[in-house]
Amino acid sequence: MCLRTLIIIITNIYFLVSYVNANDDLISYDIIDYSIPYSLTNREGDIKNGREVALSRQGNCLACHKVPMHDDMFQGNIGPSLAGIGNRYTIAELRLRLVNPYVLNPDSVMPAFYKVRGLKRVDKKYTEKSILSAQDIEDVISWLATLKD
Amino acid sequence: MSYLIKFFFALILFSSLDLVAEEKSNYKNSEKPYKKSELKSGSYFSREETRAIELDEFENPGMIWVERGSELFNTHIGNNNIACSNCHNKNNNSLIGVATTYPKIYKNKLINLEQKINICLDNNMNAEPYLLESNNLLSLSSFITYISRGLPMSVSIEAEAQKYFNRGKEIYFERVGQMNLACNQCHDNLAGNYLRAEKISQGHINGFPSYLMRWENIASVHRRFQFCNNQARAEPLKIGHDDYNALQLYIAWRGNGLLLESPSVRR
Repeated sequence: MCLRTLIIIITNIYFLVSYVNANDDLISYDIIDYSIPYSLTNREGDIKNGREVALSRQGNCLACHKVPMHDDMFQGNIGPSLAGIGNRYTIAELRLRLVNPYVLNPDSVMPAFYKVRGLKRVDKKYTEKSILSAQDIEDVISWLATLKD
Repeated sequence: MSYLIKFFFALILFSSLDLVAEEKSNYKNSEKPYKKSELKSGSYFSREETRAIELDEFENPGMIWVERGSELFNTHIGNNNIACSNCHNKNNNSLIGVATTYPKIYKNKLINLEQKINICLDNNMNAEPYLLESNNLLSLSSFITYISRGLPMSVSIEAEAQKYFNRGKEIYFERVGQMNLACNQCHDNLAGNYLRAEKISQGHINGFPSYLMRWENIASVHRRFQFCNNQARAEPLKIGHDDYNALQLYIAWRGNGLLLESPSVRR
């Protein structure tokens, strides 16, 4: 009996420690009603930088989404068009969709832009790194929110 | 009475085991994402200009490797001072059609065509095997695949190949890399859609070795897998890796029936 309690305590400590470690570099967040209501950072989203990140190779939104007001011949059509996305979703809903879309759709082709655990065979260049930083995500969301038509 | 019940239970148990075994051998065609009539080679999804280059043998850059391969095939290599063509020619041991059956089991191990060429060099010709992905090796495999052009892919997943097949399938559906992508997500579910400027293909390999314009070079299937892994930001495996062979077998099987088209030209 004593041994069992000991084992339970040890495993609990182990999980607690690994949980804390897992969130070392990533800012923790709460998912409420299929959204993340609170900003990941203290700074307000920078719309201009958000647009840059989204349309460059960094965010690479155009690989799968159309951005009709952007003048680029080559835009993917795997995901829905981003036209009017600011009307369809709130900032909090957009945040969850970027941070971890698997919460909404486990089979999502869109990657979680703010996740480092539970991924297999990640290239050494990218291990322990999320695709975008917390601030970049806030910036992209604030740009997406401006896409009203 | 109780013996009878036990006997019945045993009977039911055995018959159900039998059913499971049967299901296992029946997974074959029903589990393919595309029916034979729906199979589309990669050239179907490539741009018209690219397709035109592939079809014109004078313009197709892959033919340079085929020609070099043809020369090598007829050159005396190694200490036994023989050429491939001494044993393999039109009348004797012809290699026409051979490329449609690779990857294939050789001495209990799954190997691809390039590895088989190296085994032949080593065993029969007493020659130094070529480095995987080297110019000479890809030239030879391009030539040997070229002479099977127009014949249907027909790899076997029976007997010893089965465990490799199962492993290959596992890899095909496994999400990897920072992008957390599995092959099936794009090539089974999204073929025909645009990823940026490129149309997503069904992911068949009937055109390999293939000339890739982005590298201005010929590439083996494994080299292409590495590129896919890079795109998903996953750690690529080594060329010639057992897992890549297993994956190649699964993908080849999934496209069994497609006509060989190497050297194909792709972006």
